[in-house]
Amino acid sequence: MSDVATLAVKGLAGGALVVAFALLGEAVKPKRFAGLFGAAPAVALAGLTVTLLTKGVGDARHNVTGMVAGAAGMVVYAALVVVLLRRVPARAASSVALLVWAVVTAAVAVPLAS
Amino acid sequence: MSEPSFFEPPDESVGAQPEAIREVSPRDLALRFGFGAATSVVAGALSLATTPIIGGVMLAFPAILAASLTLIADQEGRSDAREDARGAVLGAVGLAAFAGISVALFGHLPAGLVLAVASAVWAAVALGGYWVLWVARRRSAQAEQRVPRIG
Repeated sequence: MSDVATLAVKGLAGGALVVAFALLGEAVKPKRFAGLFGAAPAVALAGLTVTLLTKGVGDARHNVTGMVAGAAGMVVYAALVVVLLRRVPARAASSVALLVWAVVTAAVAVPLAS
Repeated sequence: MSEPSFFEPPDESVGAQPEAIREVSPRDLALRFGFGAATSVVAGALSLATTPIIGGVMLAFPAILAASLTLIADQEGRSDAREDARGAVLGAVGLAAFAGISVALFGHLPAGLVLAVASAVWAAVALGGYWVLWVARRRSAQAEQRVPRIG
């Protein structure tokens, strides 16, 4: 399978799984419980499955090593959004938190990658 | 009604509301599909262009969470968006556990089994954390209110 075809399959699978988890989140209450599914491993399951089928375990293991850093950043992202949404609109809160996600993720990823 | 803090349990019990799925607009679903697809493609492209470790970082990029929170804030208010984000904190802790257990198990167990175990670990951490932090605490507070005071 060519790289472009692999990326297309990853995109379709990732989009489909994100929608599946989003619908699961819509089907439960309260909002706080539904929020669990906003950080479900939808993109990870899609990406890792295709990587395992096309590249093998070595690449998948490297992928999840990087994912440890991204997930650490996401914990900080979600906690920060809770605080920021008290003071600023959602788009501003998300934008600031995304910058902090990048900083935290880089701080964890650099030692893991070296 | 005042909004509960992070450690205070929500007023409402966990339950299903499958009828709510019918109210989700196709535009919202298309937006989420687009963010999911774009994140997956960027993660894959970064793996090809740089290293699989850098691409892997994008497997936990919060674009989808950001889209959801913005939609909720626009349609239901910032208070509901904050409640959603409180749950997402636990979901993200579960995501870190998913990644950590996968690092430990890839190469030692069949790959499909690793993904199944990691998914179960995500569910255990996210759902178990929700139960410990908020369901059990809510029940404990309710039981205390029912105990008759002596004297």
